[in-house]
Amino acid sequence: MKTVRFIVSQKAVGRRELQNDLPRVIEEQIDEGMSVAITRHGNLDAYLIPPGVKDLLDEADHLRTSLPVLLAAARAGVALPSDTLAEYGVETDFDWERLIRFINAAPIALERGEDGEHLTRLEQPLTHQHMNEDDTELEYAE
Amino acid sequence: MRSDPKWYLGSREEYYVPARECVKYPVRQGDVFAWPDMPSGWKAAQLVHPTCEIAKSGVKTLQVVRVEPFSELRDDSQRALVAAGLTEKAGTWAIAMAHTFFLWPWGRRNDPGYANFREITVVNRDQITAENRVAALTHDCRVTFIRRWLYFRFRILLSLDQVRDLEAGRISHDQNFQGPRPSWAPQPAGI
Repeated sequence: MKTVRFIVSQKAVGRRELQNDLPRVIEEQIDEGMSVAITRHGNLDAYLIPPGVKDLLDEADHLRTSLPVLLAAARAGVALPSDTLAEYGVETDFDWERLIRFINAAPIALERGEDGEHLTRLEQPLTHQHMNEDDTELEYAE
Repeated sequence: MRSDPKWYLGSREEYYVPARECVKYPVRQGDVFAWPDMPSGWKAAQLVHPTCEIAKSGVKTLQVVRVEPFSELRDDSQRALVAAGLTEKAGTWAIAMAHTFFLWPWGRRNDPGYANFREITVVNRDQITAENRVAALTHDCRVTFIRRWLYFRFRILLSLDQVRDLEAGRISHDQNFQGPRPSWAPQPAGI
């Protein structure tokens, strides 16, 4: 099962301290995987977060949009291929007819190719322009 | 939000021309065939050769891909990926098993199958006949096949509507088109 660690440092860092001593803050906090609260006049101004936390937040944002479909699949007992459902231990008996019908009715938007690559699409409507084709065949030298 | 995940149609009736009506439909790209001396280990084959090539006298061989039964896949997670054609990873929907095309059970079979686009060969055109055809795709199903084939070959994702519109334009202007026409590709006046 997946666990997400989002640790905020106990120590808040003022803006002035951050400006004067950014390398030390990064070394002592960010490099240790801690997120640092940045304050101004004692009020929270921002968070300085490690790269890994940014990735987790991006993932959480993606999950926010796909979660309704995943939950619907789990509730309906549809074996929708999903890393998230697998990570959370959701197991369903496979029924290919139910799976295809569920997908065809679900608000799913394909975003990536098999290896995570961006998809190439044609956004404009396509129009067919008829062209005649010549039927000459290849002929080979004797 | 764009929502066009529909790789495969949802029923056998949408997939295949009923057996009693197959005689009206000439052999076309996407149809499934089986004959006694198939390539070693093959049980069925899907025609991927362009339909308009089949009638040309210069065409002696036709391109087909291997069709394999669902039951021979390792487990249900593999079968789910093939039947879905997509998967969710970290909240993102991604295409899965792009080299496959799901096939509902045909004839008296209960086990679905899938075409494996990676296993392609050429066979003598004499094998690709109406007599050796075990399943004729409906025009609607052929649109889904063309869409998947285009994605596998060129990694360009067209929507179902885009592929259907292109196919409708092509069919409408095809003076040699035979058999029942799809409702979305009527014959224009004057052709």
